[in-house]
Amino acid sequence: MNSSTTVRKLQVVSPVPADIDIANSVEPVHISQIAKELNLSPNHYDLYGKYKAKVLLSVLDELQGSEDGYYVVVGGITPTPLGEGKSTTTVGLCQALGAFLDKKVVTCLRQPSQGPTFGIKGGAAGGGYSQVIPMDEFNLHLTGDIHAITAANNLLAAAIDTRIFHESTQSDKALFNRLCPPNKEGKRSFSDVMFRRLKKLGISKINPDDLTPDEVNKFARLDIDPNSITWRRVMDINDRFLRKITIGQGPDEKGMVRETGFDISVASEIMAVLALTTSLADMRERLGKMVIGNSRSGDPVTADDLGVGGALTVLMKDAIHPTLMQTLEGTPVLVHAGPFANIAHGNSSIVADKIALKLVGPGGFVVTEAGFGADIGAEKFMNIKCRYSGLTPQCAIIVATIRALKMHGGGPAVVAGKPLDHAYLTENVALVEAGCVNMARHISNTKSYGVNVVVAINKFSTDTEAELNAVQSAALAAGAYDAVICTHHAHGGKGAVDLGIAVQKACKNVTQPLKFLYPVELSIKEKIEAIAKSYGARGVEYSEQAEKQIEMYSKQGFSGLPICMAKTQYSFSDNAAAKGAPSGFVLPIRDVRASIGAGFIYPLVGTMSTMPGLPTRPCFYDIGLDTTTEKVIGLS
Amino acid sequence: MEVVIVAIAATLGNLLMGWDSSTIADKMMSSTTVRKLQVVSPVPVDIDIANSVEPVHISQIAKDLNLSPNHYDLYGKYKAKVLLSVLDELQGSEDGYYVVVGGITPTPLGEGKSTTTVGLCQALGAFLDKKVVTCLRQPSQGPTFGIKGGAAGGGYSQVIPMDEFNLHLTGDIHAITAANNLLAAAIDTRIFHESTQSDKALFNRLCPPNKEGKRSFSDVMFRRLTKLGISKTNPDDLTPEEVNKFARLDIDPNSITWRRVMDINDRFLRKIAIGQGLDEKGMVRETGFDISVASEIVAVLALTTSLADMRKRLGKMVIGNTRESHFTFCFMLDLITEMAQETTRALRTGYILVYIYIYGSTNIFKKKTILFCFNHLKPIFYFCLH
Repeated sequence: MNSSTTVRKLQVVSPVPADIDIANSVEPVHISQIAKELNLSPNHYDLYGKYKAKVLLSVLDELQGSEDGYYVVVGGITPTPLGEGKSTTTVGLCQALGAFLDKKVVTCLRQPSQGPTFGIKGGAAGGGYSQVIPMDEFNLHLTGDIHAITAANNLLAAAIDTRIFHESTQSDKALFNRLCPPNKEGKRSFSDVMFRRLKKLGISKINPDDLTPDEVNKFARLDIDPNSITWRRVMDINDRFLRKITIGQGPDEKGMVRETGFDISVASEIMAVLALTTSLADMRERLGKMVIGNSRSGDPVTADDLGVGGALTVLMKDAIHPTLMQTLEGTPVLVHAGPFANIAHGNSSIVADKIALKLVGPGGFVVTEAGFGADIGAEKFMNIKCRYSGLTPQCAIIVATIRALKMHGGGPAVVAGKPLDHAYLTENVALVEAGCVNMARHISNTKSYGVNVVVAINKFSTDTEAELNAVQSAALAAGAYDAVICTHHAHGGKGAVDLGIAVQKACKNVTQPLKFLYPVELSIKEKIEAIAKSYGARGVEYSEQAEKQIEMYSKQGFSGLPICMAKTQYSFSDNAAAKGAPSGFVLPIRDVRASIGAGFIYPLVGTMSTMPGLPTRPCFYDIGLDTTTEKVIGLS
Repeated sequence: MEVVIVAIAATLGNLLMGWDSSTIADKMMSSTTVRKLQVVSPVPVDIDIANSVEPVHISQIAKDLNLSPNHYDLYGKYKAKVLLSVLDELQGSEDGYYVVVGGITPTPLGEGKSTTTVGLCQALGAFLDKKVVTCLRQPSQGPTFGIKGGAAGGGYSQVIPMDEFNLHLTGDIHAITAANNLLAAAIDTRIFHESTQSDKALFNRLCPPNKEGKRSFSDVMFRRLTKLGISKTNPDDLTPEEVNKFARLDIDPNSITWRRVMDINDRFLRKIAIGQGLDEKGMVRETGFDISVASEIVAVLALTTSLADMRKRLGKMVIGNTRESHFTFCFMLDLITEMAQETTRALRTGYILVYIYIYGSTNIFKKKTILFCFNHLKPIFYFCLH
């Protein structure tokens, strides 16, 4: 790293300029240079312009004999609506490790959804002097992965409605004739994907002409129950008017009207598949296993039943490769996948982490971010992602801010878009100390996985020395391995050097193995209750709908999957207003759904919106393009 | 479908062909992208032919066109986006010859215009030693999964890699889909917000005071002010009547012609009802989805001549009328620049260098064909007149 030609240390100015201005003030290095620093051969990546590259999975084959580097996950305390700077801390820490502490380091981040960029301010590239660049390319399109997910998701949706339509208008014989048409010599054959359905039905014949009429009926008719369809269409634009729609109103659709809706693309199960898959072959299997609904007799209907599993894989074949980018200080970043952190697991991809751990090698660092507070993102990182990847983290960082801790200590409500109350802008050590119970519980919960916990106190200009020291003391008292004050927003990597040093020590001094919160062999309810206990709940209550769903999934053979709790990010409990560390409450499970291809069951605690809207003045008013220089203006 | 050679693509292609013939001959002779290929009979299926040929790295194709790495961006090993900046560098050069391929009224099976276009260029480049570029439309992705048939030519006259040509390519249609749907969302959302807020509340949100309490118009808002004949630059100076005119587009829902799009064949979205959620307060409206290549934004992309021109065309798109039966130009929705941003990637080049399979016999050394594929789309004229 001392001979590195890509790492540089930033010159910072005060006060901190807008994110887009900082991002535009730094000329990115050509991405082939970043790849070279990682010892990535040109055979193992594809350039996408000058500042982005897709790292091919083939590099894993070449490096399979290498040892992994250290694996660090960044979570946070329960956040305010303004966010507490987990992405900024993740990037700042890596800039510190790479540019100031001479370590091999890769940051693994989620790809942000495009919709919010035009809706409400805020990208996901970090902030201030700790950012991924080019910022506009990070927040828009990137290398087209989300576009591929949108296309794949909607292909499956079209296949569902079309199949129902064709089954309703044709006899068994006509359906079968069209599914297995004779070729020029009059011979019929099954396509590869059809053998999956035949196997599921227990039919071992390979010649279509050998099927009995009863077998033809079973094979050709999926008999989908329209009321059971859980698969929705998606788009990567904030459009509340598509939350609930009626489709099939055209005269040619013969009255097959159905209510459904659109989610935002990152809420698609295909995004969760992309994040949790470990290889191309594994992705093919997961895509095919996705359950879109049930037949009228209660059997799950999969993408492979519809014949579309292979086509989905084709649409996703390039999306499986992570995108290489860089930070302001020239350290490498892998951007890949961005599943929702409520109805999905809110972490970037396994394949990116695996590639990064090999590239940095022993003694190097891979830092990844888990969405929302540690009760959501880090819990799912441990219990879902690490279970599927087989990887072991050494250190978990919990990002805390004085602002959020004051909120948890009883401060006034924090509302996005409204100025902060006076209580948040003036010193109040007692309020901070009262709020540290939230941080303490996150520390305790995270330590139980066997990792060393480091608290990163993200310092704002309004924070005082006494307040910061109070948090440091409380964190250490709660069992944190270390607690460090950070100024990476204002100072870039330099502001996170102490955090980098603490993380190095934490990684080198792990004493316990990774331990999951629950074994997957437990029943669905037992697993839900294990997670609820970590929230401080006294117990769990299930609605009638939830009971019915749990019974159905258990009967269908899906009870061995991990649990992905869909809960508000603003409280340990189901009540967003319950700050601090609430306990003794009963957690209400309103409904239970499943992403079978991605591989988890997700109980719903309260209502989850999966399609955001646009405000009166969306921030697209400020977004423009200098048509002379092609520079993007007004992204925030 | 007709092959349309659009001005911008052809101009660039022709400029590249306008070099000194002696230099051309020298470069052709030293080409490193040529190889000998075997043809078999009967002709195998297209995908098997396409897969039997290893494409040349696209940087070699660019080099043979004397295209500097400054003027293109690689998208993997076999695709590159040619930047418009090359037009500035070559503006003194003369154009080459410009040929359009049409057809007789076709049968449903098609008559082979794409195959002829590609085959002709392979002949000119590999057999007749001419500098040649082919400009083609990017195919829609939806039909690839519906009924068989891509648009990369056929048999031994194809664009390769075939799968990359028919799927995603470099994401231009995805960008069009996103831009089209951002505008659609803005229309319904604007109607919703106007129906639930007073003039004052709308204006307060459109021009909120900053930390020092000062209001300002964003750049795009000045276009609407100009259209309304208001020359003030300070929001606080507007009269209540001016605030009303500025803040309320007063779109007539029955006049909206802008539909959402997606690049998947999905008949169930031809006619839908939107806005049925409780939070949308009864603002249900009938509309539908087109396939993405039917978007007016595709026609804008195909007909534009520069980035600045595209910015203007996107802003001028008419989505419907006010209740007073005036046209509501898109920039009243102030979406122009975002769409320019969305589509800029597509325009950053309308051109993609793709290696082409070369027909050749075993005993004759054939020079390579250079195909320059224009991924712009068939222009579709979209009239909002009633």
